[in-house]
Amino acid sequence: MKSLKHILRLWISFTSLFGFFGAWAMLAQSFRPVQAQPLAAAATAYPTLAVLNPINLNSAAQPNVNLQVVTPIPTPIPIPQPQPVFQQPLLRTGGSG
Amino acid sequence: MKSNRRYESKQNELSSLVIPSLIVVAVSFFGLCLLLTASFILLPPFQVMVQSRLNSLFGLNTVQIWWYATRAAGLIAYLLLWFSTVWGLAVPSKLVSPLLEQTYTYDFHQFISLLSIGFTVLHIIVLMVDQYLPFSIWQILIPFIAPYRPFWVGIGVISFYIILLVTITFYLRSYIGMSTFRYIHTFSLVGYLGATLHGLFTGTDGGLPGMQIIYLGSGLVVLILTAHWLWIRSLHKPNPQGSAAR
Repeated sequence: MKSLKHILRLWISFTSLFGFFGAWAMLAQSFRPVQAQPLAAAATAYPTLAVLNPINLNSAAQPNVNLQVVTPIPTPIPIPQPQPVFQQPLLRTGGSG
Repeated sequence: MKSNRRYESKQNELSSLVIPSLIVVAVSFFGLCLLLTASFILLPPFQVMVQSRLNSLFGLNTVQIWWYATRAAGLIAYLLLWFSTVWGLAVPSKLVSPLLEQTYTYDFHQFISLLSIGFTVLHIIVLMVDQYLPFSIWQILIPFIAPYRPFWVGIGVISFYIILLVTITFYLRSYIGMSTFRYIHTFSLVGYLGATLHGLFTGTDGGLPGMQIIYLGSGLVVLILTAHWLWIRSLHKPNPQGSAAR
């Protein structure tokens, strides 16, 4: 009957080990890192940030979230430089002050 | 005498059924492991295939590998703690006594608790290794100073200390006496409750419906067994009014 004790111990040890790897696999399948492709595709379709829904990065900052935000390089928009305007210097006009 | 013989024959029947089936399971498991190891070493294409499958199955090539490992260890530690609590409630309520001799039930209960502590230590060690959300040794040992969800992490730390204390007293029974041992042992229910809350509110996987079912279902079983144990205890308590009348 002493073997029953060892068998019970062996059984629970193996079950726990199987459970550990099973739980690991389950978590790896349930919490896959967020892929950058959908965001990149959305950014290509809608190049302006105003069209995209705002992303709350604070709420996304969880240990299981691996968020990679890919934003397209904005096309340079020529901004006309303002012409310098020379004002006439203010002249102090007399007075003892 | 008759009941003793019946009990012995029941034990023999049980061991004759359980032992061979467990041996078959263990042998087949070892055989499968050997086969996999041999194929992994001997066949290079198989090795590549196994490697890619393992990467995909366990997320080995992601930054979250340590997070998966620590959560898995935490979950198994919780389930073992639950099993130990259920077993500990079933023994005094005489729910498992028709199946197993009391020596084995105590030994098994003690072993499950030790195994649970082992997986909790693994859970803690992996947390320190994790680069994504690193914890220092002090943030793990001192409750409520963790950088992430400090309250619920602190509850988990306190629960671990309670379970550790309860498990240590298994070995100090002869020094502290049975009444003190039983008194300290009731705190394991507090430790279990704390571990449940820690698992439910600290782990980001606590939001998964499957995990919520595990936590709530296991908690319900412990609640029912605790109520049953209290009821049995109240039945065996001597009635002071009755004894005074006599």
